[in-house]
Amino acid sequence: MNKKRYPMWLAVPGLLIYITIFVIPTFASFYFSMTTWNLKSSVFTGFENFISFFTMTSTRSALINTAIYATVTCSAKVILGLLIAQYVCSGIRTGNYLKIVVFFPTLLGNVVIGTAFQSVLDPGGIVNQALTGAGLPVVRFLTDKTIALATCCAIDIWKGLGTAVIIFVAGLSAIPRDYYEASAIDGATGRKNFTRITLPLIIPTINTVLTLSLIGGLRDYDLIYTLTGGGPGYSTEVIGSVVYKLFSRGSYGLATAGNVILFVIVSIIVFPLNSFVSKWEERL
Amino acid sequence: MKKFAAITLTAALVASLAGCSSSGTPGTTAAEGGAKTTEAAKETKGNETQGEQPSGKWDFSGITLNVAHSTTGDVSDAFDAQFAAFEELTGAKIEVEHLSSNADESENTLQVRAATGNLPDLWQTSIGAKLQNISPQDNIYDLSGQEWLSNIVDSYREIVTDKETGAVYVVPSTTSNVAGVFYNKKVYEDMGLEIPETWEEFLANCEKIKTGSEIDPCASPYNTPSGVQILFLAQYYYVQNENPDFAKQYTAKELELHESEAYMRGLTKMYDLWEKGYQCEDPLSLTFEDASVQLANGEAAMLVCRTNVMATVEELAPEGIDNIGFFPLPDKDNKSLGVATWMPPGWALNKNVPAEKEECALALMEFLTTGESIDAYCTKTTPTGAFMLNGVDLPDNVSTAVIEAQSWVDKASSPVMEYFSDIKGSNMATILQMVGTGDYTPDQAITEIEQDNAIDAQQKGIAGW
Amino acid sequence: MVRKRSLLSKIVEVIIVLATLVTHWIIFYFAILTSGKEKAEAAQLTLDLPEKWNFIENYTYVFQYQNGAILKAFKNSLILTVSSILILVLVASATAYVLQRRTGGIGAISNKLILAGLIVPAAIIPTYWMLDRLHIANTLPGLIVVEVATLFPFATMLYKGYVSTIPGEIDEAAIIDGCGPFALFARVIFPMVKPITATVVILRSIVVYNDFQNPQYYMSGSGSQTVQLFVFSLKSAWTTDYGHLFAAAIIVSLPIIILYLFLNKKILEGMTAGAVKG
Repeated sequence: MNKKRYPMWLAVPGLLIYITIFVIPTFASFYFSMTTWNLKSSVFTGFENFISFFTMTSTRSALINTAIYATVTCSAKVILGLLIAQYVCSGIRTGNYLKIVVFFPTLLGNVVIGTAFQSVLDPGGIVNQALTGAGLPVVRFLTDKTIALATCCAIDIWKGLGTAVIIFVAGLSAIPRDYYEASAIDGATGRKNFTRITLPLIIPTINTVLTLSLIGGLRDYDLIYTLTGGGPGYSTEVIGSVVYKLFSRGSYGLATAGNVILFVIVSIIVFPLNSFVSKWEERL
Repeated sequence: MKKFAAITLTAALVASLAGCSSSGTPGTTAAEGGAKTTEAAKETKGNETQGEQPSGKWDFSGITLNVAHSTTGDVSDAFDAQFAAFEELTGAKIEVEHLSSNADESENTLQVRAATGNLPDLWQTSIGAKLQNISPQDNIYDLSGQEWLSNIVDSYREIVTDKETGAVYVVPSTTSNVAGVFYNKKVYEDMGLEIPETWEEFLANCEKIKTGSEIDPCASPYNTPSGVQILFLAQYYYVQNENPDFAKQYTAKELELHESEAYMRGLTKMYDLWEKGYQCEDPLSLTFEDASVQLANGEAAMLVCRTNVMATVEELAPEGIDNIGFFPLPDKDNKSLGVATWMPPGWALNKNVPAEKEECALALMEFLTTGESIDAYCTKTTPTGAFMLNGVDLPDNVSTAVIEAQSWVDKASSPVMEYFSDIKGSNMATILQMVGTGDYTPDQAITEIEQDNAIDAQQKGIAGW
Repeated sequence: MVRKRSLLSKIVEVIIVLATLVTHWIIFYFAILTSGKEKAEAAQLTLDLPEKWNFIENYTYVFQYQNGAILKAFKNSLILTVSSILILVLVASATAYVLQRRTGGIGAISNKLILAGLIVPAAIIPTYWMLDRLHIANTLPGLIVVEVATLFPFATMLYKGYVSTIPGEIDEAAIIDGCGPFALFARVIFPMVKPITATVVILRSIVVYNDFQNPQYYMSGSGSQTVQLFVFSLKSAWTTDYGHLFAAAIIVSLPIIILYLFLNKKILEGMTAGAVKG
């Protein structure tokens, strides 16, 4: 009955594209990660690529940087995103203005953002003009290895916050009004409302934002790459950029091994986190 | 065409054009857009199937060639001028595609496209050991047997000829480069400095500049991967001077990099400049363009780079050209001074170029080796090295720094290591940045470089690694 | 109490609006100003008004650069964005619908695969190898299927969540009315999932239009570059030429900004509708 009414062939085009272009290459990457490979022919080398990948100095920095980058950007997007969304939904006149402004950077490509910030944060750029004008020393936002990663995080938050806000606004406006009305009768105030009603009901949304921005933080590298190229030194190198550089040098087998490692890392962090948050949600 | 006519009106420019191709007859060549070829060029062009009339010989209306290159700035404009001249001459259309100016990226793009059969009709390629990456025997048109190959000087032709098959792969696209120290003569004069002949003297000069003025002794444009590598790569002259088979033995894993004192000195020199504070405050923000301007204006006294810096100076700070002089990168003693050179990258023709385009593409390759095309080139930029073409000398308006640098090529020079060995890890530029900003000592850096290179060699499947 | 709060919230409001001036508007203002300056002046990187207003020259230059290469890039980006999103919407909604209504068997495996696709980073080089096998490497169709495959999991999950809120009685009613399985989807279900379609169309158009990684990997230098790759190549070619560079950056950003200004209300409608299912 079900089979007739909901024929599988309707799902076939989607699954076909997805499996051919995404699933098969993903499985193939397990094989190619164990070869030296020039796209035409490959020689099986076992786990050598994985050993090489971990012996690279850039990998060690990249692992730490990726962890910092993902954690910082993800938590900032969740916290700031929720705060701004609360503000937007509170009915204040400037709420809508804020929502639009914050979302604006999402409309821009990474190359455009990279270009803009490189000139704005240049040692002679407007930010440093302001700093020196106020009698402060010049800050080398992108070339001082102690702050370059922080700068990249800040720019990524600037760019990605809009998406988080939109998702949170959607989640918040889905909470039925009468919950708050009922709670108002009980004499609950803003803060209590937030912890008793908003927070429990918004947890699925938090889970969405958390997962999406964590995955993004772990695997995206193109904004960093256009800003610093992974430098100075290895101070903003992330796994994605290490893989990209290997790809650029033509080390396809090794680059694929790096990608497999990234895949494993993302899986072992995101899957448990996701189920942890879901359980938390059930308890509340 | 209008451009050409307009340009000939300017007497001064005509003079410079004339100097560009020594075989050209001034005025007519440019004014007629090169439709008439010069006598010397005609001889070599007497092609078997076509008639003698140049205009009838090259009519390729309706054909479009795709050309890809990764050159930027005035030299890119110079290419456009050459292509425009060719379009004018033949009616063909040339579509230019700009590849990433990051050498690794653009080479990878071409490599991937070669592996998947998507190469453009013509493209600019590194020559030497790197040419092998693209499997030239499968992908690049063999030019041997083309009569006009005699336009190219022997030394260049040798490098781009396959020793086993005799196939000739490319024609030179730009000018050669000589690396060394470019210095501001005024600063040197004002401070009463002598040209250093040893690294010790060089450092002593830096010290005098540092203590006696506000000027940065050495501009170090470590902002880009190319800027940070020049000093180190230029050291290769001394490396091969110490051991002529260095690159060969290294590729065969018969020696380790840290065993070569000369090789290590390349790292020590970079480290010295940082340690003693002879660079600007923030080398990582300093672009090559900024550094060139600083050198020309006398805000920086010296810059270790290649002769192509003079094209940048011409573009951005033309008034400073005559202030700039050249001396070789000094090493441990004054007896062995010499320079490292880069051969011009070449234009390669796609082996699988569609039959209907083949003749046109070959004509373009031929055109690019002629005086007319060099004339067009010189309308946009003053050459900063040798074109590696017969009958084409440097024009009169070439800067004295370039002339000085060129004079060293015959005296004592060696191409850099990449022409002999393709082993180079993906982090070379980063490691050198870290040496140049004090994060790595030379000893730490060499360990990193050796490790990084080993991975690259393994990935390339080089025997012995 | 009420008055005190409104005063505080007014202060907060003012602070927030002022903050956005610093965090957002100055940057946009800087970009716009710089795009109208001559090379030497633009290189100063200041917020000063242009000494010589060079807007028309700069923008004309960008449009004329390489015989209008930017228009070609626009055409490619448009084809890429429209085709990817169109295909995505059709295949993802259909797949989501079938997988949601059928349980077990292939459906269960497909569900797991799709879920994994949300998390797994794409295997770049093997994907290239696959495209090469299919003879669509370095072509626009090749890039389009990559975009569809990349966005497929998220879109499918969104549609699935929404389809689950459509009661099965509607299906039965339609079938009693004589609808075949295809008509049931095309005429009944697809119109009902419109809010999700709106969200997917708007949000994913932005992603595809601005995508840099995929075009860079799968179509780099194929001659048919997208606007993002075009700006990137200008960044290499015009290292110190900020006037032209910012003019180009603004030109390529405009279409999506205009799209957003028109459709910004719709985004939230769809998102809210999607969130209802919880």
